[in-house]
Amino acid sequence: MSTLLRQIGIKFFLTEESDSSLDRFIPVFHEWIREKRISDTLLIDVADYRHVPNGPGIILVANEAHYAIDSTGGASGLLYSRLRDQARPAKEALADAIKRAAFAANALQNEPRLAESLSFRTDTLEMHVSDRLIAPNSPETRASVEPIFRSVLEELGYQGGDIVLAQDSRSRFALRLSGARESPSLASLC
Amino acid sequence: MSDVETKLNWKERLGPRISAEMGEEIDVFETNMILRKAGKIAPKIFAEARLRRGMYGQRYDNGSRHDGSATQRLDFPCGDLTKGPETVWDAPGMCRIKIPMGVVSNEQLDLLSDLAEEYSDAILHVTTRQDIQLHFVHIDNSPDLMRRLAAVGITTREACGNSVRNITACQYAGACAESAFDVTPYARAATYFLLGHKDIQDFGRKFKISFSGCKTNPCGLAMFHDVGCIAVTKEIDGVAKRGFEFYVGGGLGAVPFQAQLFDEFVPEEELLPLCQAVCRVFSRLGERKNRARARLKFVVKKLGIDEFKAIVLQERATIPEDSRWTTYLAELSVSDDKPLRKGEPLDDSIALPEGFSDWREHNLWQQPQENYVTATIRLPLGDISAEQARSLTTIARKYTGDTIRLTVEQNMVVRFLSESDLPKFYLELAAANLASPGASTIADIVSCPGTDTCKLGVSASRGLAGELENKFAREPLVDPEAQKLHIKTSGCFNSCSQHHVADLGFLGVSRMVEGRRVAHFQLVLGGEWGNNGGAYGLAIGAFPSKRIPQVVDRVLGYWAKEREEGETLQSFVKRVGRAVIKKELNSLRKVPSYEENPDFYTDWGDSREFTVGDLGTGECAGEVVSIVEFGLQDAERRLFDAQVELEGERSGQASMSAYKSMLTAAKALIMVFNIDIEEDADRVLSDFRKHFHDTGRFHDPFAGAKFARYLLNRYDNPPSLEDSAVTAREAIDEAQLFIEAAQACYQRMQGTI
Ligand code: SF4
Repeated sequence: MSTLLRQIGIKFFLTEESDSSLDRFIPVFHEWIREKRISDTLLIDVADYRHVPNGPGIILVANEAHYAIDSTGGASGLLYSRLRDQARPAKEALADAIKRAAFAANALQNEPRLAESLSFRTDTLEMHVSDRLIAPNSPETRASVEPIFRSVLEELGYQGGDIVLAQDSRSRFALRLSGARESPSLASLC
Repeated sequence: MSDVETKLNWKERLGPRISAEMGEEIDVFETNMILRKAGKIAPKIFAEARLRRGMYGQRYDNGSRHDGSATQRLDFPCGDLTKGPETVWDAPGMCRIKIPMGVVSNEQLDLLSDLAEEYSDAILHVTTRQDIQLHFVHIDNSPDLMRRLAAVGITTREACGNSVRNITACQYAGACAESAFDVTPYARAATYFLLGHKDIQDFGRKFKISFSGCKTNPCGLAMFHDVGCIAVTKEIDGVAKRGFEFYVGGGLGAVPFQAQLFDEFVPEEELLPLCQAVCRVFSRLGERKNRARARLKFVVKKLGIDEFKAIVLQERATIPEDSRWTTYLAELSVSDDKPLRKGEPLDDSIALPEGFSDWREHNLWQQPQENYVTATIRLPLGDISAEQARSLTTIARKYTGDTIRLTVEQNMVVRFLSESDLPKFYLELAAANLASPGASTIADIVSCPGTDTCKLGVSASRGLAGELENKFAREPLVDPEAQKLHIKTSGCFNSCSQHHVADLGFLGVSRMVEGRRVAHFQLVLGGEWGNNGGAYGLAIGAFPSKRIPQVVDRVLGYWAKEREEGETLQSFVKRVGRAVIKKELNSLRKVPSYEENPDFYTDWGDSREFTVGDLGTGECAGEVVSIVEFGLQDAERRLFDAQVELEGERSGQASMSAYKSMLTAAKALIMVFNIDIEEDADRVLSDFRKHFHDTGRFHDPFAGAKFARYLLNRYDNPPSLEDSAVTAREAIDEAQLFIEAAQACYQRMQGTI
C-alpha cells in the first residue's frame, strides 16, 4: 500500500540575522499579486495578522496555497501550506511542496527591498500535513511518513540532521529536520 | 494514511457521533451543492441556503480585485460556476460558527483549532455576537467542516441569513454578583427552541436576541437587540419569582434605534412563548421588499409600542401550547459550571510574577462564589491562533474545567479560577502570549472585519484598530478615566463593531480629494457602553483614516482639559455640544495633496492606493445589498443625524444635514448608472436632473415630481446655520419623503415593485 498525502505545509526558517519585522512583507506580497509572480498559482489577497503573537503573520492568500511569514512556535520563516489538493503518493507530494516553498523563499530572498536583511536557513526545515483524516498526529503516521520524508530530503541533497516530531499530540502532524550536515541552496530546490 | 484508509471520509469516520438530524441537514446541504454545480439550483436560492448554513461570502468573491492600479480579474479554476449572484464558487469565503451564549467546551475549542488549521488560515476570530468565524474557507470543504462541528455538538445553522442569529448572553452569567440570576439556561433554551423552528423560516431579515443578568453592565447589551431580555425578580404572593424585563425593536446599523420596553416583568414560563409570538408577528408584518426597512425596529416604530404589544399578545393567545416552553425550567442547573478546583484565597505574601499586577488590574472579575475569579483573555482584534487556542484549553483543563466563554468584546473568559492559582495561571497564559493586560479598557479595541475580508467594507477598520492598539501599547494612557473608555471601529455604517455605543466609535467612509479617493472614518462620540448599551453617540464628522490616531489624542486631550469634576466623556459631549467639538477637531480634517503625502491615499495595513472599487454586494442580510442600497442607507443615517441635531436644538445644523441626506440619496441613485461622483451639490444636482428628474424616472406614480422638487428647491434655496426649528423640521420631513421616494425609485428600477 502506498502512503498518500495532501495539504502539505513546508516551512523554511529565517536566519537569526534576518529582519523578521512583518510590515515590510505587505507591499512585497501586494506586488507579487499585481505582477502575478508565482506562475500556475492564482494569488488573491494579503491577510494581515501582525497583531497575533507567534501567529501566521502576513499571509499571501492564493487559491492553491497560502504563503505566510509565519512565526508559529516562536521561529519565523516562510510557510507554504497547500490547500485542497488531491491525495497523491507522499514522495511526490512532499517533493512538490518543498519545491514550491523554496521558490517563494528564494524569491523573497532576492527581493531588492528585502535582500540585504533576509536569508533563510538551509539546514533546518519543517513539514506538516493539515489533514487529520489521512494523517493524524500518531506514531503510525510517523512510522510511515518519516522514512519517505528522509528519502525525499536525501534525494534533494540534504545529508544528516535530526528529525523530530511536533510536541503537542493535538497539533497537526509535523516533522522538523534540524542540523543537516549538508543542504542544497534554495535556488537549486526550485 | 494508506490508500485504503483514505477512502474513508469524515462522514464515515464520525458516524454515530453526529446526530441523525444534524447529519441529515448536512447531507441536504451537500446535495444542494451538487445540484448547484449541475446548474439545477438558481444562484440566489443556493446563496440563501448557504447563508443559512453559515457560509458567507468574502471580499473579492465576485472574481475581481483592485490591485492598487487597476481592477484585475481573478481567474478561479471553476470558470463560470457561482455559489450565489456574482459569487464565484472557488472564491474563499467565511464560515460563521454559532456558539450559543459564547459557551465553548475545551473539546469544542480544540476541534475549532483543528478546523482553522485545515480549512482556514490557522486563526479563530471571535465576533461581537460570541460566534467564531473562520476566513478563507472553500465551499467544497463545508460539509466536512460542518460534520466535524456536529460531532462535538456545534451547528452553523442559521448563523447568517434571514434567521435568528446567535443568541448572546453575559459572559459572567452564573458568576456575577450583580445579576438577578444566571440567564444561561434561559438563553440556551431560547436558542434550541428557536433553532430551525418553522415560525422563523420566513423572515424578511435577520433577528437578534440577547440576555442580560442586570440592567447596568454592558455584557448582554439588551438595548440594541430585536429582543433584549434583562433578568429581574419580583415578589408575587410573598415568593420571589424569576422573570425578564422584555425589550423589543432595538438595533444598530445605519439608523440606530433604542429598544423599547414591552413588559417590565415577563415570568420565566412566558419567555419562550412570548419570543415565539414576536417572531411570528415579525414574520408576518416585517417589510420584505425594502431591505433597508426590514428589521423589527421599523415594525415597532411604525406601529408604536402599544399597538405592537397588542398584536403580539393577540398572537401569543393563538399559539398552541408547546411543552418545550417550560420543560427546561425543571433542569436549570444543567448549564452550571463545574469548577475543577476548590476556591482558595491568594497568598499575597508570595512574590508575584512580573507583569501580574498590570494584568490583574483589568483582566480579573471577582465572582460571588468565594475565592473564585473570572479571567479575561484579551484577544487582539478578536483573533487567536490555533496553537494559542490549544494552549488555552490545556490551561483551562488544568485549572478550571470546561468554563471558557466568548465575549461580545471579542475576548474569551475563563471562569471559576481559584485565586490561589492565579500566579501560575498567569505565567502559563503569558507563555502562550495570552496574558495581555488592559481587557475592556480603551486599549482593547473592538473591530469588525472591514476591508480585510468584508465585501461591504469601505475603510480598514481592523488596520485602524491594530494601529490604535499599538499606539496605546507604545504610549500607555495614565488618566484612569480615559482608560475606562471604549473604542470600536466599523468598516462601514452597518456598525458590526457596535460603534454607536462606544465612547469613541468610528465607521469607514470615503471622500474624493482632488480626484482621488481617500479612506476616512466618521467619528461617533459619546455612546454609552454601560447600561446594556444605553445610549448612542453623536456623529461628529469624517476624518482621514491616517489622522485618526491624532483625532483620538485630540478628543482625549480636550476632554481632559475641559471636563468638570467627575464628568464622563458622554456627559461632556452632551454639555459641550457637537459644534464645539467639531471645531476643536477641524484642523484634522485636512488631507494633504498626493504629492505632499501619498501615505494619506493608502489605508492602514494596505500598501495599495485606496479605492472603493472592491466594494461588492454584501450578504449581511441574506440577500444581496448593492452599493446603491448602501448609499440609500447612508442617506438614512444622515437624516437620523439631522433629527438628533434638531432634538439638541441645533436647528441650522439639522436643516443642513437634512439637505445633505437628500444629496446622499440622490448620489446613491446616480450610482445605478455606474457613475461614481464626488459629493458636490452642483454635480449631484446636474446628474440627478439629467437621469432622474428630466426622464421622469424619479416621479412618484401618484405625486409626480413632488418629491424630486424638494431637492431642487433646497438646492436653489440652500439651508443655513440660521434656519429656525420650524424650517429644520420641514427640511427633515421633506428629506424623509425624498429618501422614501429614492428607495421606491430604486425598487422600480430593480423591478421589485
Ligand atoms: S460594519 Fe460594514 S465593513 Fe464591518 S463587517 Fe459590517 S458590513 Fe462589513
